Amino acid sequence: MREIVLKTTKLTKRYGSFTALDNADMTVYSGDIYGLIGRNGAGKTTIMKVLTGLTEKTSGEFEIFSQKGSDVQREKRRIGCLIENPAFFGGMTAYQNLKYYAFQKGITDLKQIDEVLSLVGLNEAKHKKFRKFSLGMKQRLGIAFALLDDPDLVILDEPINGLDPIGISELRETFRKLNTERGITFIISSHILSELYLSANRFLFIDKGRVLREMTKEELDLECMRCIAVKADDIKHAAAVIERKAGITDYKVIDNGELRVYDGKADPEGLNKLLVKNDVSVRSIFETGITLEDYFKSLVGEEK
Amino acid sequence: MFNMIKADSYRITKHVAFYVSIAIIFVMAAVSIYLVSPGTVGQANIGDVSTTQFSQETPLDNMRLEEMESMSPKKIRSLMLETENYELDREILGMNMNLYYCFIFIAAIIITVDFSSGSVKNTLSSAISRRKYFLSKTAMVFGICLLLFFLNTYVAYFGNLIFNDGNVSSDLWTVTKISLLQLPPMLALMSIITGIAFITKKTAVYNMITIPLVMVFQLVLGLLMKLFDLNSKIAKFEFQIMIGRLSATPENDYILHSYLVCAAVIIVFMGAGYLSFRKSEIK
Repeated sequence: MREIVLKTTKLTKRYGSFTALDNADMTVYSGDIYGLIGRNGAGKTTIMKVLTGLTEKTSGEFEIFSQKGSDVQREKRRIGCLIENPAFFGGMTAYQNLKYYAFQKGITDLKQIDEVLSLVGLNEAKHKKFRKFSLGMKQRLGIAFALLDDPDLVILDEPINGLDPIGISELRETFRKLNTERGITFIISSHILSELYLSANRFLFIDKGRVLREMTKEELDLECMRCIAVKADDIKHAAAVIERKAGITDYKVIDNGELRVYDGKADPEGLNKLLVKNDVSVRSIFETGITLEDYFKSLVGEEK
Repeated sequence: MFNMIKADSYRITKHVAFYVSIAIIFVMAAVSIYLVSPGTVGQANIGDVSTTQFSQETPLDNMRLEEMESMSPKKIRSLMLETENYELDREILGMNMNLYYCFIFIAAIIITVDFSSGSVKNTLSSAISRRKYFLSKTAMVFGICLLLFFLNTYVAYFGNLIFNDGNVSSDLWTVTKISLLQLPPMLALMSIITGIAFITKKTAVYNMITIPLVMVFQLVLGLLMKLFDLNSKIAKFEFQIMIGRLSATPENDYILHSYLVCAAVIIVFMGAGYLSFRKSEIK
C-alpha cells in the first residue's frame, strides 16, 4: 500500500455566498503525478491555496503526510509550491531571489540554487533581473523555487503557462525525471487535459468547485477508448453471456447497470441479438469512445 | 525566525530605499550641523502647545521673518555658534519626528513590497507560519529603524562635535540619555507604520495612508481641540510634541504618562496589524 501524501475530506471554501470549493475529496499517494483539471475558475487554485495555507478553509479537513490541523505547518517544509503567477522581487536577479528563499528555508548549501536553475534551464540567465524576464522565464524560476530544498511534494499551479512547446516538453521530462529518480510527488493543475495527460498518472476533474471524478490514467484510458457500452438490468448475466457465448474476455463492468466491451471484433448489432436471445433485458447498446477533450466536456456537462 | 531575519537582511541590502534612508540621515545631520539649527519636516502647533516651546532660546527666535530670510546661511551659522549654552545635538534629537519618514521607507521595503510583488505567497506556502512571519518582519522593521534612530543620534552628536568645535555640543551621555528617553515614542511610531503595513498590505495604499498621517492627525487633533474646547493637556501627548519634550528636561510625571500613551499605541497598532494579517487571504 502506497503512503498517502495528501488527503482532503469534504474540503470547502466559501467567499460570502460564493462557494469556490464544495466538499472536495481527493487523495494523493506518494510517487503520484496528480493532475488537477478544470476550467478557469473551477476551484483548482483555491484547493492549492487552502492546502498551502494562503487562505483558510471554511469547513472540512485535510492531512498532509498524515498530519492534521496545526501539525501540518511542520510538514510544510517538505513541500515546494508555485501558486498562481510566479512572484519574485523585480529588482533582484534570479540567483539573488533564490538565495533570499534559501536563507529563509535555512539552506546552507547554496549549490542547490545552481542545481535547480540548471534543472529548469535558467543557468545562463541567473544574473538577469527578474523584472527583465519573459513570462516563460518567470514560470521556470517559479518552478526552480518550488524545487529548492529537495521537497517530497511539489504543488504547481498552471506551471506551463507562458512556455513555448519545447519548454513544455522539457519541463514534462524534468517532472518525470524528478518523479522517477527522486520520488518526488507532484500535484499539477492545468486546464489543458491533453498536456496533463502526458505527464500525470492520476487525475482529479473539478468544475464549479465540485469534484467530478478522481481517476487513474488507466481508468481515463478506458473511459475514452473505443468500445461498445451495454446497459442492462442484470449485468452479471450479460457478462456471463458475453464471455461464454461470444468468447469475449476484453470487457469491463463499469457499475451495476453497465459494462463495456473493448474487443475490436465485436459489433453492437450481433452482441445485442446474442444478449436478447439469452434472455438479457438490454436497455441500450451503443458504440462509444471519445477524445480527452470531449470526455472532459462530457464531465463538465457541455455539449459536444 | 532567525532564517527569516537573515533573508530579509540580505534582501534589504539590495534595495536602494535602504541606502536612501541612511543618506537622508547624513544629509539632515549635515544641513543641521552647517546651519547650527535642527531641520524639521512640518511642526506641530496645536492650540497653545508647540514644539518650539521646548527648544532652547536662540538669536533667531526674536528675529523678524524678513530679516532672517535676508541672512546668508554663513551669517546664520556664525550667529548661532555665538549662542550661549546652546546644544545643537539636543535640538536635533528634539526634531526626531523627521525619522518617521525614514521609517516609512523601511516598513515598505520589508513588508509591503513583499505583498505588492506577491512574493509573500512563496514564504507563507513554505514552512513559515503567519505568526513567525509577522514576528520576524516586525523584528526586522524595529531593528532597522532602531539602527537608523541611533545612527541619527550619533551622527548628529559626533558631526556637531567635530565640525562645530564643541561650541554647541552637549556630552555623549546626555544625547544617549535623550535617545533612551525617546525610545518609547519611537517604538510607538514603528508600531504605527508596521500595523498599517500589515493592514493595508499593498505599497500604494500604505504610502497613501502613512505619508500624510502626521499632518492629518495634527489637523484633526487641532480641530477637535478647538471645536470641543478640549484641554491642551491632551496635545502634549501628540508624538511630535512628545518627542520634543522628551529631549528637553521632562518631569517624571510627564515621562510616565507619555510612556503609557506609547504602550497603548503599540498594543493597538500591533494587535490590529496581526489580527488583520492572521486571517486574511494572501493574493
